Amino acid sequence: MTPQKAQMSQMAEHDRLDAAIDQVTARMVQVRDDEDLAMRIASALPERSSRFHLRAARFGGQVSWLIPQFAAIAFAIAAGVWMLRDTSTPSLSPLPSSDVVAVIGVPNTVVAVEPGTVFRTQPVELLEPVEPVEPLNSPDFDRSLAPIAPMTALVVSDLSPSELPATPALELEPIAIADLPLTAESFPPR
Amino acid sequence: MLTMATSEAAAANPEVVRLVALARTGDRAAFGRLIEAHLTAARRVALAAVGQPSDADEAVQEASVAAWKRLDHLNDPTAFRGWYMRIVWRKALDRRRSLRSWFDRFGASTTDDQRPIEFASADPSPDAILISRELAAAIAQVVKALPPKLRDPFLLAASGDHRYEEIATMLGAPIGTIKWRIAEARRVIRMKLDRLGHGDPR
Repeated sequence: MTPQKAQMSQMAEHDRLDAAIDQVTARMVQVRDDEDLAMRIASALPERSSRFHLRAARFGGQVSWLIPQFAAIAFAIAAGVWMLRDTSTPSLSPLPSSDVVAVIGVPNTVVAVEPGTVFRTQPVELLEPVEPVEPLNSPDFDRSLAPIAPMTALVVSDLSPSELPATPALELEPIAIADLPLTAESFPPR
Repeated sequence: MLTMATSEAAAANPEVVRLVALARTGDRAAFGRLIEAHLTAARRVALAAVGQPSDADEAVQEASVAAWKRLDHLNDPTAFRGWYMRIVWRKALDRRRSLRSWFDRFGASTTDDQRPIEFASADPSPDAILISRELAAAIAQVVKALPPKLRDPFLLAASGDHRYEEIATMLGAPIGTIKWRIAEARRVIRMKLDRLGHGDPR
């Protein structure tokens, strides 16, 4: 076969393969005829709510078409109220010392209570006003503590091995092993 | 200019405009006649996406209901066909995603790419006699194994119902990209067929 004929053969095979690809892919998207499908779809369609129906309802005096508008206006009003509300925080200035209240009778112990016990709020009893304590001009020796002496620094002196106390040498007593009575009676007979 | 073009198109196809106007008033029969002319093409579009005729018909029904509900959003009644095809394509894609997620969730062995190929016609055409069953099955499997970006425009073009511009509008891609994807799909198919022993004798 000449090269020209071989090239023509290859081109023919190339075209045949392309035609085969086109044919198979066309069959892959081929559908069976279904003449009643359009009517089945049309009969199963739901009711439409088109713009024309909304306009007809508006001219008929109904206000259902205004519901989205009312909802939008209400949302805008709510958003405006939310934005314009008083968001200022109360002042955080310190209270004057005269407002300090003495707390008396705070329990500092926890009492074990049996389960099932019902606690009831007791009425608050009125307390007598506490007289203000006058500041003392002289030192209060009854409540003050004695001053603590300053700590001295810890000093460790150098120590040579010759200064260590001599210890006596370790002496072991000789171990004495007594002779064992190795006789014929020591072995059990077989 | 747009108004003029619209009026010209309306004059070219007044029946579509009349049916759209009737359907907008709630006339189901008018809508049925409106989609009847495009139903075969719509089923092919859906079949290109989902791969199974039963799923394709389900997608077309869902798309038809959606088009019926949104008919007021169709600005140009003469563009009903392209508008309807885009809805069909989107519904078919939704169905394909849901089917894939279903198979992934339940671990079925018959995934979307592994399901057997169903041909609508059992009796082959005179041209089909030239193709062996082995080669046809190999081509179909290779096409189904293509990535969706290549397979979708290739199958839509193979249906013969749409121009490149319509496919580009349907898929939301530039026309140049669509042309490249179709050519690339053909190149990949030929390369894989060559590996399977069905390529050109060299």
